[in-house]
Amino acid sequence: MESLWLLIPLSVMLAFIIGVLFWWAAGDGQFDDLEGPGERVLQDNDGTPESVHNKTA
Amino acid sequence: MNIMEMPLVPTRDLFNSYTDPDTTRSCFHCGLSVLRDRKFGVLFDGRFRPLCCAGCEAVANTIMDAGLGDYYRERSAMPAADGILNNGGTSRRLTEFDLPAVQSNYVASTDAGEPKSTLFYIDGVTCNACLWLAESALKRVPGVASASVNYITHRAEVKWCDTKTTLAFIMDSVTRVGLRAMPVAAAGRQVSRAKERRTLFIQLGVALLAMMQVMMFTVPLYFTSADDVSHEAQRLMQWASLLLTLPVVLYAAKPFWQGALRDLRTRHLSMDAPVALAIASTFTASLWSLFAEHGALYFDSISMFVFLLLASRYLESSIHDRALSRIERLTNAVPAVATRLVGYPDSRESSDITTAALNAGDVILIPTGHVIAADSVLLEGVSEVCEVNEAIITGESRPVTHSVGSKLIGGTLNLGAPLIARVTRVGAMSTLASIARLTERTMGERPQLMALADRVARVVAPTLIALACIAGVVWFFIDSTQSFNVAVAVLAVTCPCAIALAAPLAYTSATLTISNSGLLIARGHVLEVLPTITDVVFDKTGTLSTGNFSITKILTADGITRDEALEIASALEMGAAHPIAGAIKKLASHNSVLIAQQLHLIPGDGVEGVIDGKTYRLGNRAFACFNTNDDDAFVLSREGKWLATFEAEDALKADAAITIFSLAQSGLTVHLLSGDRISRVKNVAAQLGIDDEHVSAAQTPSQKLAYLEQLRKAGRKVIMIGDGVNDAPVLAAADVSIAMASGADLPRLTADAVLLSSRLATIVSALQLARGTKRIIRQNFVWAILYNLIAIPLALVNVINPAWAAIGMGASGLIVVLNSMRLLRRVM
Amino acid sequence: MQAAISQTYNYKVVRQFAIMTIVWGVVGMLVGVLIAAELIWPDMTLGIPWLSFGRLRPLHTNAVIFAFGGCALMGTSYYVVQRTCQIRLISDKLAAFHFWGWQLVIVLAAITLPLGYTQAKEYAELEWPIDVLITVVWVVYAIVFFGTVMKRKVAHIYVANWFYGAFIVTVAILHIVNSAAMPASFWKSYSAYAGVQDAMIQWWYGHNAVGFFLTAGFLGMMYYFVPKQAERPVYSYRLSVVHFWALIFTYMWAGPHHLHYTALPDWAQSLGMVFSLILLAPSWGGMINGMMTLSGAWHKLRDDPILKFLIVSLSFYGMSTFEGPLLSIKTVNGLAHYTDWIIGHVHSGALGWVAFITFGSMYYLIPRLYGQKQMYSVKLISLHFWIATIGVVLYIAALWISGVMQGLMWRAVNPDGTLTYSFVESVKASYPYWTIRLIGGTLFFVGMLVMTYNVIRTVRMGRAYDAPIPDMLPTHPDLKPQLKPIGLQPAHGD
Ligand code: HEM
Ligand code: HEM
Repeated sequence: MESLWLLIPLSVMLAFIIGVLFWWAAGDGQFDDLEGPGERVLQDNDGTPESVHNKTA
Repeated sequence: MNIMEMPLVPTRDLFNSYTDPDTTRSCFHCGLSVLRDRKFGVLFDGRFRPLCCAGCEAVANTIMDAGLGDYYRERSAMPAADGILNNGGTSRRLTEFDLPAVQSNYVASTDAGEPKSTLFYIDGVTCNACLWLAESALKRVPGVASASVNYITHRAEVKWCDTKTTLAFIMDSVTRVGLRAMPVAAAGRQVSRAKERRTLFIQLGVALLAMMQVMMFTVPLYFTSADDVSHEAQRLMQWASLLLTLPVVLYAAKPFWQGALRDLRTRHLSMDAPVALAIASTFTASLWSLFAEHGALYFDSISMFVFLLLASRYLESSIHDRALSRIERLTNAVPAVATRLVGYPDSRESSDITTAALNAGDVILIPTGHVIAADSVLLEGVSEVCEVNEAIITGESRPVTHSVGSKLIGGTLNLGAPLIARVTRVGAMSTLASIARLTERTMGERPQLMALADRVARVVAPTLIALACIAGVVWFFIDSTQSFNVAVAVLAVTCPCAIALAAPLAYTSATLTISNSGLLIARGHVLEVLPTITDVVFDKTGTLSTGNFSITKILTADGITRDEALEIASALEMGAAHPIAGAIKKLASHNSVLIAQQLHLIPGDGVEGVIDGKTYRLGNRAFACFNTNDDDAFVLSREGKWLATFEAEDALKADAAITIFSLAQSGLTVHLLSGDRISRVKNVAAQLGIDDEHVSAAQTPSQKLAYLEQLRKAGRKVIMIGDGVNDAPVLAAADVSIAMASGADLPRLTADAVLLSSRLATIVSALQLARGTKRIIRQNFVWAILYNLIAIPLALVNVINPAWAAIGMGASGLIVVLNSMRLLRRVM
Repeated sequence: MQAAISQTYNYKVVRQFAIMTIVWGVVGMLVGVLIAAELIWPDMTLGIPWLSFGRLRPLHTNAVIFAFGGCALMGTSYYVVQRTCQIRLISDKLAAFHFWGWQLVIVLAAITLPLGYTQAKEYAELEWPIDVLITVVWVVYAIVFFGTVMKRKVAHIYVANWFYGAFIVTVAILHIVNSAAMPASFWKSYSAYAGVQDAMIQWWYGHNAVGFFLTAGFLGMMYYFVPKQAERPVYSYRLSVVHFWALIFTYMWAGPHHLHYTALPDWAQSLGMVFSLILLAPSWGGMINGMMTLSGAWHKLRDDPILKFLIVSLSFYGMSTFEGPLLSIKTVNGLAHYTDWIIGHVHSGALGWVAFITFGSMYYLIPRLYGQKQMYSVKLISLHFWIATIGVVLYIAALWISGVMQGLMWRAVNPDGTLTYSFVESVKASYPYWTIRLIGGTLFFVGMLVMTYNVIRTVRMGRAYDAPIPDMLPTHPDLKPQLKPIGLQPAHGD
C-alpha cells in the first residue's frame, strides 16, 4: 500500500489544483459566453493570401 | 457612394425607397427584391452584386471596405430590415448619446484616464455572423480598447477612451454595418445578480469536485470488506477526505451558513437552519471520529448533500434568471431616439428627440425597419402593407398587419413601409413598462398554495430540530455511543427542502413558459385556479374576431355612386383612427382631391366636416341621420339626409373554432355573451359550434354580470374572456379573467391574465399546462412527504446510516427540482 | 525585421514539428510492420539482438506515441494556441529549444532501446538520463505554452487550449512520479517503488498516459481542426467545455483497470471498473459533439477527404471508448486480458483515432504553413484515406478474432481439469490472423508513404510562410472619427 502514500496526497493536491483552476476560470468569466468562442475560431481569417500561393520557382 | 452624402432626413425620399416584393433579383445584402431600374451594387469576390437601395449599398460598402466581407460567407440568415435604411440619418441621431446627461446613464464609472466601459445590446441580429460583424466593427473603432460580444445574450462590452472617441461614434460604427447597438443602462441590480449567480456556480463546481474526490476514497470501502484495506491506508484516505471536505464546508456551503445566521437574527426559521445544523453536526461528528479513531465518517455525505442542495438552488435561480432577462429585454427594446414630425399634418419636417422626451400627442415617423418608439395610433402608412413584428410582446414572429387607426406598441418593429403615428402613452404608462411590471409582480406574488408550503416549512424546521434532539436523548439511554449518530441521521435524512421547493419552483417554471407563449399572467392565483375551471365565458363577439374590419356592403341613395360615397367618407375620416375608417380608406380611390374642412370628431358617434360648403356626417345612424333605428352600420349623411350606409364585418380569428372545440373536448362548457344583435351573435355561435343554450345576445353589462353570478352560484368555476377595457367589472366577477384586447391596451387592463398573442389556442395550452403544474406539484408533495415518512422512522430506530441519509435527502430535493423543470421544457 | 516578427505568428516551430510528425510516423510504423512480421517469422532478423522483437517493440511504441504523436501534439498545440490567443509564442528561443530537445530525446530513445537499455516500464522504458532530459524539455514546453496563454489578446481561452494544457500538465506529473528512480550507473537505475507498488504506479501512469497523451491532447486537436475544416462552429461549445471538465474529473481514477486480476486489492480494481464505465459518458459526449459539428453540412464529407479523416477518426474514438469500458468489466477483462484483443483495442485507438486525426490535421495545417491553399494533391489524400481505412479495419478485425480465440483457448479445460490447449497451440492458431494484421499494417504504412510524398510535393511547391497576426486596430478610413461632419448641426427639412 506504500504507493498510496504518494498517489493519494498527489490526487488531493491535483483536486485542489483543478478546483483553483475552475474557480479562476469561472471568476474570470471563461464560462460566461459558451457559444461565441466556437464561432470566433472560424473567423480568424487563416487562409493564406493569394500573393503567397504562386511561388515562381 | 459616400454615406455622408445621403439625405440626412427621413422624408419622401425614404418613403420611396421601400421596395415592393414583386420584383425579380434579390438584394445581396438584405435579400429584399431589387427593382429593375435601381443601380445600387457592390463588388464581392470579383463580381458585381445588386443591392436594393442606397441604405444597403452604404452598409455593404462599409462592410467590404473594412475587410469584413467574410460576413457574407459566414451568415446563415439575411439581416433584419432593421437599421439598413437611411443609415446616414441614424448616424446623426445617435449624437444625442454624447450629451453628458444621457451618457452618464450608460457608462460604468471608472477612474479618470481609465477606459470607460459601456454595455450595448446588439439589435437586428439574425445569425451569428451578425454578432461577429458587430464585434469586428466595434474593435475597429479607433479609441476602442476592447470589445467583446456575448453570443448568448447579444450584449457587447466595450471599453473605450473618451478622449479618442464618443459613444455616438461607437454606436454609429455598428449602425454602418447594418445593425444597431443600444447602450444598456448601467443599472446595479443585474450586475449584482450575475455576480451572485457566478458565485453560486463556483460553489456548485467546488462541491461537485470535492464530492467526486471524496467518494473516490470512500465508495470503494463500501464495496469490499474492511480488512482488504490496511488500517493505515484507511486512515490516509480519511485524512484526504477531510482535506477535500474543508472547502465544501468553508466555501461551498456558505449560502447555508449565511441563511442560518439570518434566521437567527430575524428569529424566523427557514430551511437554511436545519440544513446548516445538519452540515455542522455531521462535520463535527466526523472530525471527532477521525481524531478518536472510531465512529462513522460523513465526509462523503456532507459533500454530496451540499452539492445536491446547491444544484437545486442553482437550477431555481436559473429559472428566475430567465424571467428577469425577459423583463430586461423588454425594457431595452425601446429605441433611445425617435423622429418627431413637428408640423404634422401640414408639413413633414422632422426632428429627433430622445424617446424619454416624447409626450402623448406627438406625431412620430417610424421608418422601415425601425423600432416603434412609443405606444401610438397609426395615422398614415405609405403603403397598404403596414406590417409590424410584435414578437417581443406576443412571442409570435409572424408580422401583424395594421391599418390606419390600429394601435401600435412601443418596442415592436416596423417591417413594412414607413409609418406615421400619434403617440398615446409614454414612460411608465407604456405597454412594455406594464408588462415588465406585471411580470415582476407575478414573480414576487405568492399563490396561496405557496404560502401554505412556506408555513409548512416554518413548522417543519423547528420540529425536526426538536425531533433530532429528542432522538439523541432517548438513544443516549439506549446506547450512548449511538446517540449522536441517530441525532445526526435524523437531521440529515429529513428533507424539508423538498417540501419547501415542491410548489414554488413548479409555479415559476409554468408562469415563465406560459408568458413566453403569449399569455401574460398578472395574478399569482391564476395557475392555481385554472385546473379547477368548469366554464369558459367569452364576453363579446369581439374577443373571437380579429378586429380587422372589411366593408361587406355599401348601400347608396339615388344620385350618388359607390365610389363617390367612399371618396367623401374617406375625406371625412382623414385624421381618424378607428378600424372602420381604415376599412373605408382602403376601398376609396387614392387619387381623391376632396378635402374636408372644419372636421369635428364626436367621440362615440362619428365625425362631422364640411366639403364644398356642405356639412357631412359619418357615424352611427342616430348621429348621422337623427334616426334611432339601431344597428351597427356606419352611415354617411349630407345636411342630415341619408347618403350611404357602409356595413362592416369583423372576420373571426382563424383558430377560434378549433380553440372552442378543444375547450369543449377537455370537458369545459363554453358560453358566449354579447351585446351585439341577435342575428350576428347566432351566426358567430353557429360558425364556432357553441351550443345555443349557452349563447346570449344583446346583453347589457349588468345582464352579463347576473349571468355570471348565476353560474357561480350553481357552483361553476368560470374563466371570463373579454377585452378587458370596457368590461372590467364583469371580468372582475369571474374566478379567472383573461383580457384579450390587443397588447396595446395593456396598461388599462385589470384582468388576471392578458392574452398578448393573437392566438386563442394559447389559452388551451395554458389550461393544459396549469393542469400539468397541478399534477407535478402533487407529485412533488407526495414524493417529499412519502420520503420523509419512510426515512425519519428508519433514522429514529438507527437503521439508516447517515451516509445513505444524506444521499437520500439531497436526491429527494433534486428530484423535486428536476420534476418541476419539466414544466419549463414544454414550450408551446 | 524585429517589427516584422512581432507581427507574425511563429510558424517556424510548427513547421518543424509538422515535418517531424511525418518523418517519425514513417519510422514508427515501419518498425510496427517489422515487429508484426517478426511475430510471424521470429527468425527473420537472423538473431541480431538489437533487431529482436523484445527490443523493437518498445521502440515502436515510443516512436509512434512520443515521436509521431508527440510531434503532432506539440506542433498543433503551438499553432492553435497562437491562433486562438492571437499572439506570437512568448519565446522563439525556448520554442526552438523545445523542438531540438525533443528530437534529441527521440534519437536517444531510438539508440538506447535497440541496445537494450530500459527501465522495463511500458511507455516509460527510457533510462534516467533521458528521463531528466524529457523533464527539462517538457518544462520548457509548459513555459512556452502557458506563457502564451497568459499573454493572450483574446479574453476567452478556447477549449482546445484547455485540452492541450491538461495534456501538458498531466503528462509532466505522470512522468515525474513514474520515472522516479535511483540511478545505479549512467545507463542503469532502479525504480523508487517496489513490487505491487511499482505496478500500481506504473499503470496509474500507463492509463493516464493513454488518457492524457493519446486522448486529451488529441481532443484538443479535434476541437480545433474539425470545426476549421468543416467551416462550422463546433456543434455545442457549451458541451465541449463540459466535456473537458468531466473528462479531467473522471480520467484520473480509471487507471487500475489495467491491473484486473493482479495483486492489486480488490477494491481498487472495482473502483477502476466503476470509473471506466463512467468515462463512457464524457467520451461519447465529445464524440457526438465533434461529429454533429457537421450536422447540416454532411455533404461536405462526400468530397473532402480531410474531413473524412477527421470524422472517421471520431468514429474510431467512439468505438475504442466503447470497447474500453467494456474491457474494464472484470468478466470481460478475464477473457481479453493478455490477448490480442487488447492489442486490437490499442490500435483501434492508435490507428483509427490518433493517427487519423493527426493525418487530417496535418493535411489542414501543412499547406497553411507553406503558403499554399491546399495540399499538392487532394486525390492522393483520398487514396491515403482509403488505404489507411482498409488497413485499420483488417488490423483490428483480425486481432479481435484472434484475441477472443486466444482467450477461449486459454481457459478451455478438459473434464479432468487439465488445460485443453497448450500455449503453443494458441500461438499456432493465431498465425493466420497475425498475417492479416501484417497486411493491414503494411497498407497503413503504405498510406503513410503516400502522405509523405504528398507533403514533400506541397512543401516544394510553396515556401515557408508566417501568417500575420490579425490586427485589431483601424484598417478602414471610413471608420476613422468623422465626428465633426455628423455632429448635430446640419439644419434639415428638405
Ligand atoms: C503501421 C502501423 C502499425 C503496426 C503494423 C503496428 C504493429 C504493432 C505490433 C505488432 C505491436 C505488438 C503487439 C504485440 O505485442 O502483440 C504493436 C504494439 C503497440 N502499438 Fe502498434 N503498430 C502500428 C501503428 C501504431 C500506432 C500509429 C500507434 C500509436 C499511435 C501504435 C501504438 C502501439 C502500442 C501502444 C502498442 C503496445 C500495445 C500494448 O502493449 O498493449 N501502433 N504495434
Ligand atoms: C473510455 C475510454 C477507454 C477505456 C475505459 C479504456 C480501457 C482500457 C482497458 C480496460 C484496457 C485493457 C487493459 C488490459 O486488460 O491489459 C486498455 C488498454 C489500452 N488502451 Fe484503452 N480504454 C479507453 C480508450 C482508449 C483510447 C481512446 C486509446 C487510444 C489510443 C486507448 C489506448 C489503450 C492502450 C494503449 C492500451 C494498452 C495498455 C497496455 O499496454 O496494456 N484506450 N484500455
